[in-house]
Amino acid sequence: MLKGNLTCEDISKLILSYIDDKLSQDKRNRVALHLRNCPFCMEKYRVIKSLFDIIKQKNIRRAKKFQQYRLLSAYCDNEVSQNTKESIEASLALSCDLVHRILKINSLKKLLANNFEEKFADFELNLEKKVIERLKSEGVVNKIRKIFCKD
Amino acid sequence: MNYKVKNNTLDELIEMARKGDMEALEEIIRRQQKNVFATLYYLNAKPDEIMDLTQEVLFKVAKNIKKLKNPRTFKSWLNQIIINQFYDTLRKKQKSVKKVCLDAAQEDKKEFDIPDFASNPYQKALDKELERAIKCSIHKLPDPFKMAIIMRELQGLSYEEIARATNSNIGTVKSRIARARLKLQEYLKPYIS
Ligand SMILES: [Zn+2]
Repeated sequence: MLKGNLTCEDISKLILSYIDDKLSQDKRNRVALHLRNCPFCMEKYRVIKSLFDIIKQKNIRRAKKFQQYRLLSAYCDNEVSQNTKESIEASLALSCDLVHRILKINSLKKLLANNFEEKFADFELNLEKKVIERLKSEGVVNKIRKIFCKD
Repeated sequence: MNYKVKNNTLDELIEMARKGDMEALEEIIRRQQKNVFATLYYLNAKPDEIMDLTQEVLFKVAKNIKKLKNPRTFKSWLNQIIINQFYDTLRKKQKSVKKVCLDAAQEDKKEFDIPDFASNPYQKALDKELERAIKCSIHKLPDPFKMAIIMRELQGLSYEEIARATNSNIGTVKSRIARARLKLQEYLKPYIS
């Protein structure tokens, strides 16, 4: 299909990858050649390219805003303001890196929670009676002391 | 077991205990003791001291509950007592905090004996290894990070409660928790998918 000169139809399929620089050297050259010779595709390229740049800029800006790890960490604990929460969620749609980092925080949280839970699940201390007894006996001692140390 | 106080919320129990209700006080201690013990365990108290420390903390809670003005601040207050008790004991013994974990064999011998009921021996060994890795990783953290992550992940305190317990602001708490997590992610990399 892509042997010989590229058609306008081929360009439609390749144009996004071309803009995103995802094509092999050979394909890239052939797309460029077509664009130089076809004003129709060139116009299409200009429009898509400018849209693409805007989205990319926004993506970078949004992702930058949450480079601060502490905000992501607080986000995972549901301890950020509603505004921050919404912004982070909007950015998540645009940045794989952010999603990845949040997943990592959450799997750490899960690992710790499971471990804490299991370790002490069937653990019994039964200290309450001892503590109360000690409190009561200390109260008695203090009363006696008050009586005998009056003078 | 006392059934009268079993269904009360912690806030209600604190209110009752402040007015001198001994049964409510006993129930508070019953509910909190495991948390106190576990916190000290991850704070790196020596295994043979954890039980004594736990009792001291619980006794201070019982003795001073009347001084607690607002039941909502109970968790922060409890953790202040834990932190103070832990460091007082350390200071008295004039020893510095042990930052690095001992090697595995030695650590294992001194391990406080907590029964576990996992039946599969292979799974049991894996759990034990993971458990040790987690404990060591937490011990390796600098003290303020350690305390923040224990209060958050083990006890489930909010950032505000942690800030109150450690006398710091929320921003500090946020970065301590975030940095503790980064470190733990690094130490526990093999276990995190
Ligand atoms: Zn064309």
